[in-house]
Amino acid sequence: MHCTDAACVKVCPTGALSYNKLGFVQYERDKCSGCGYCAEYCPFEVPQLQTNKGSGDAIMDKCTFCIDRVTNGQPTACAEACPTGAIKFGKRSELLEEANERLEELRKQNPDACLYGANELGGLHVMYLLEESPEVQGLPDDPQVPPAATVHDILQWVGVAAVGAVLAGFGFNYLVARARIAKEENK
Amino acid sequence: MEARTVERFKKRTIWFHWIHTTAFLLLIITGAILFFPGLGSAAAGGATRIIHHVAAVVFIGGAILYIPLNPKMALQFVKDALKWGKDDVEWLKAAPDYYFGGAEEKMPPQEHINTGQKMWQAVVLSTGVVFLVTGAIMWFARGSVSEGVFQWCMVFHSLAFIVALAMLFVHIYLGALHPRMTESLRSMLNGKISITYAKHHYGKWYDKISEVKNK
Repeated sequence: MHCTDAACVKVCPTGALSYNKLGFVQYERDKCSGCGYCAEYCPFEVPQLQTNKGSGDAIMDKCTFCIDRVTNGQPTACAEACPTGAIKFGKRSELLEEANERLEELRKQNPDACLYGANELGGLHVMYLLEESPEVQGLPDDPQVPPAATVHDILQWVGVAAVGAVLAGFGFNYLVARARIAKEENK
Repeated sequence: MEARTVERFKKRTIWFHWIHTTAFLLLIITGAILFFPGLGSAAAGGATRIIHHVAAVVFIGGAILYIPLNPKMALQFVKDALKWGKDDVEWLKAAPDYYFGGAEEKMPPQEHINTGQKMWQAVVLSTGVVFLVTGAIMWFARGSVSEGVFQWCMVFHSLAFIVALAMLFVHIYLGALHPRMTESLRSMLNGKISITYAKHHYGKWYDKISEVKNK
């Protein structure tokens, strides 16, 4: 999953997770601190945190969307290697057209069949053609960025404002108090 | 400083204060790196998390160890933070005039610590509990609690961080930098303050200890 509106990118403190120019979520492993916020906020349980309880070491792993290949005009490795064509890589408009044709066929057998990922969270940059409803596959029916992520975003700026206000206040207080003391001493 | 002084802090309290300070600053710095936008890259690799964990153990463990070391003072610390009265309201009303203009007349006489210091103790205690509970859940119970619980633990850990950081600045400023708080920092280094300073800043306390001495 590479959500257009990605909770993991929102909460990642180090910038290891960010949006690529092409729209997918890019992951730079050497920037990762292993905090695991992404794993706790992702509605799909995509980021996998590896932790060593003893040393406290941790690092996250997820699909990188084969960034080196994709940015050089090649398909992702999974799509290229897949022998049955179950995974396809291509232009969104073409894939969407093909998926909708096949969806019509599938719906004749099961009205719950659906296309998943075209519009969820602004589009996931991955689309699944599902024979049954998303829940059957363990996918959330209506994935959302958790509200706590938005609250935390706001808190960060509240923090900046609070520190700024406190420091400015002290600077002002210091100058006034000093001037006053100087005046007293001159008396 | 005049030669006549009174003991304000015991040696063990001073040691505890500075060990606690070191742990707290490490926690604040490594926390700030993860909290403030733009600082996060310093956390790459995860060393800051290990520092944060070690400092957390010192911070909480130190506070627990201090209780048997100086039970009277530890109990007093909690009591002071919880007990609020008319003098505290008067102090807060008069404080701006004093800290800006030096107007001392309206400041009500204070106990061993003043209302401002009480506020700081209340913040240390209350944010300490929030830090401990939410931090322990994120550290030890990750995976066994739901994602929602973890997410809100993170939000409340951050909220406590903002309050504690702002009040830490107040504490440092009034304890060490404000031009009228001339003996505060020194008393946390050698444990003593001059009698003049004690009379002016902690009048009720000074009356009590001089009564005891004169008996």
